[in-house]
Amino acid sequence: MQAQSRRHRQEEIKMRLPKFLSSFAILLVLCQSTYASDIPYKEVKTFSLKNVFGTKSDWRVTAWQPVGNESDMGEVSARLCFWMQPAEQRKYCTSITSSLPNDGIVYHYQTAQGLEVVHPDAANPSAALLKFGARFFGGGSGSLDQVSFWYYDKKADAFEPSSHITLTEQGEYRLFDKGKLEGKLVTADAVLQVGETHFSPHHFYIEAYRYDAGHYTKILGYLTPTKYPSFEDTNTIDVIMPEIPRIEGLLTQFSQ
Amino acid sequence: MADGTPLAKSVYADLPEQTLRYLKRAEALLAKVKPEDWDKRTPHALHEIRLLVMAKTMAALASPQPYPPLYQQNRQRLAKETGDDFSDDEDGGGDDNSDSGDGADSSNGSRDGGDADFNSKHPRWPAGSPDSTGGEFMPKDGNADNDTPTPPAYHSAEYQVAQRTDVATDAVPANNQATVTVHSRTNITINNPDGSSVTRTGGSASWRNNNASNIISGNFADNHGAVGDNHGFAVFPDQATGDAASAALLRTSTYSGMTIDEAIAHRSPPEENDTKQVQENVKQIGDFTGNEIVGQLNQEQMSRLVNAIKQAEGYHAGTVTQTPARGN
Repeated sequence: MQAQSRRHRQEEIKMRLPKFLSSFAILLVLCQSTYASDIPYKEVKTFSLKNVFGTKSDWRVTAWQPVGNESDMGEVSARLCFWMQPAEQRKYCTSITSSLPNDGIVYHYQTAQGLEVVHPDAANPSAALLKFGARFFGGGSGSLDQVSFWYYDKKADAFEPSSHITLTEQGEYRLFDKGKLEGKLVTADAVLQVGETHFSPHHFYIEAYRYDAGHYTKILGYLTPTKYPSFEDTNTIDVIMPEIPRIEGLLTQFSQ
Repeated sequence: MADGTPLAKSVYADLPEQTLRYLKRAEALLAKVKPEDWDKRTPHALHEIRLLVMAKTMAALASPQPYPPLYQQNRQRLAKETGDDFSDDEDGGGDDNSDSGDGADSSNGSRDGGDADFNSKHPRWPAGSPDSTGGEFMPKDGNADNDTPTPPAYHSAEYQVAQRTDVATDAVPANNQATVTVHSRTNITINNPDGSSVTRTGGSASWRNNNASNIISGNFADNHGAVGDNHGFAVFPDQATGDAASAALLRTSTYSGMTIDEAIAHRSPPEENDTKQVQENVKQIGDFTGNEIVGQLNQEQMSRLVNAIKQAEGYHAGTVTQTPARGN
């Protein structure tokens, strides 16, 4: 009798559990949406994507960034939103974040740094990517910039993430539209080694990417054999241009 | 505020509530100045009030004495310049909510124990007005010697270094009205409000900018006493203020729950390829494991952490050229 009663109670709990969980889930969603709507954002830039990408629907894009206490050092990310109806301008968005592998820290890129259309393939002028830059700043001596690229999927009539790069305050990137590196994306970022201080001269890690059908694919990576000055000695990081001959040489060597 | 110019963010940030009340009262008094009475002297007067409030705050933080030397000095100076000795009902520490019918803010209701009362008396403005090249006080009544204000000690960056040895102090500095002239990345001049200046040449960026942890310019730096920007990095009026800002950053809610490793990765975030050498340097220099919780560090450990960050960022001195204030 007691066993029967216990079983009955267990079944009752089993039946009630989904209801409880679904209520909890609804509450969670409500809390999240309230939280999201409470965060003050300012519209940084909005423009139509229809003409430049030839979209079927009237797609537009808006970059938002948090304001007030969250605009600088906050834990709220800048957002990139694709929309068609004004009512959806803040509805379908991507918050710009990153984290290192096996590391619990999530970087929220609070500040929008630029939103523009780029044409990565000179041979195919109609090829276009949307480029969005955002910056994380934690109040200290460094910052992170994330540059994300978004492509238009004609079949789905939607914009999808293509590729992204992340650079520290001691990094730089260039998109080449002519010369031997035409269509290449090249990045350089400082690598701190033993005995070096934050802004002393460093070796830099160079990466080169090739554009191919909406995506960037990494084709080269190396550590510069020479050190380049950083912010103790210079106003701007200038590594890629002096490294061009080496990049071109290595790409030629690898392509043979 | 009467002149439409908001107080610098660095003035308001993290001030004790009591000090904010004083500032609000001071501004309320200034707001009552009639337009026809408004002239160039008014911003200068406001500056004086700010200095008085700041001096009082600094003095209160530095000493339990009711009138420590710094406050006395500033008070005497202001008394000399304004002819007002601020002697009315301030020493008793009693209630000051009388307002004297001047309409100044009395909504706070409470009082902190008695000091200069901005509510009951409108200080007379000192003779002269700020000039157009940086707010230096220029006498205009023909008695230059008497009217040139004696630079108070707290205008001096070196004084701040001497007075504020505790890097964990995050009080807003009194010298937040200084300006910075960036001649080049490696050569800057900090212009103090009293007309004196300090040119810092060579050395590391952290030394030149009085910014040992290389805090990047922005709201945080502004709110913690930064007075300028040298190619993206904040410039602080003195080393102690820069150190205090560095400690204050680690005391924010963002950092207090982090381990030292996480805090370093947050304040100077590594790119994926980075070797996280800054973390290693800080741990080695400061003798930390990296797992210590920042918010649980005691005063000595916090000082050690700030110092380790300073060394990991790179710090070596260059050349200082001091120019005294005009008339000294």
